[in-house]
Amino acid sequence: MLNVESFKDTLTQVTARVLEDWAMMLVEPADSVPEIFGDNDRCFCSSIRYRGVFNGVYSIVCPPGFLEVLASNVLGSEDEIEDDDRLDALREMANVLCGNLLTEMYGEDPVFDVVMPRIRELPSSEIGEFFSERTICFLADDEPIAITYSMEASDAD
Amino acid sequence: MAYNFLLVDDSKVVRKALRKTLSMTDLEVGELHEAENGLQAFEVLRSTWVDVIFLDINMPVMNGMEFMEQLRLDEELKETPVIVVSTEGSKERRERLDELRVRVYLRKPVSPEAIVESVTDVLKG
Repeated sequence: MLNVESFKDTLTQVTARVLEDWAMMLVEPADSVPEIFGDNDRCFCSSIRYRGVFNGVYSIVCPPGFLEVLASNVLGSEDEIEDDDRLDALREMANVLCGNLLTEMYGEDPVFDVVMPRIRELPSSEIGEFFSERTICFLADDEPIAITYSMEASDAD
Repeated sequence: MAYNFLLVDDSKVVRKALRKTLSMTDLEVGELHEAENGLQAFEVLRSTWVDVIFLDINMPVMNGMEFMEQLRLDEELKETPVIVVSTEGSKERRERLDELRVRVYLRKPVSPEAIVESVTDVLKG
């Protein structure tokens, strides 16, 4: 089983690749502290669960500014971006990130079932609770995002 | 000759991005239909002619694997070409998609160039 540091390295590489290839964002690592969210009074959290050889959850927290850039880059800034598009882009980002990460971590042999991502609004007062030793932060086009993950061996293994 | 496409994905953003990519190519694009899942896709296919289907795998109601299984059993629709665009990475599921005669498998995130290339290949037969 991979250790936490190895997992973090893979998560960093996959996140950067997905955001750069799919959303044309410039991604750089950031300190994993709640303060990177600055004065944002609210954020959004997208969580996605997977089941298979390992079970786990990935959660992504980002401010509205990140959603704006993400949706604009994916759809093209000349198009009208609706509120639904911003949240849908975050949901799809979680889906793409999870799928790529599972293959990167465990190869192509295991079969995983991925549950539809869920999104909720996160008040600034709760952002600190999201952080743990398994949180990695990035700046994507200067907008902060934080990813927290968990994984455990499945009983079915 | 203009070609009709059906874009099947539960993400509206993905459908919009595919629609935009197709409309910006040199391909003669006729009608662009959309569906949020396999069940809706069958409703579209029963009411209009579609030349190529873009299909996601991980969807609610009827997922892409279930859709493919039913499509290939349908006497009227079984020859419709399908391009899968998905995050699915399991070899077992991809082999099953090969057996179900999926013409092209594209792994998300996918570039506009890859979309155009795959459509061109499929339309050439």
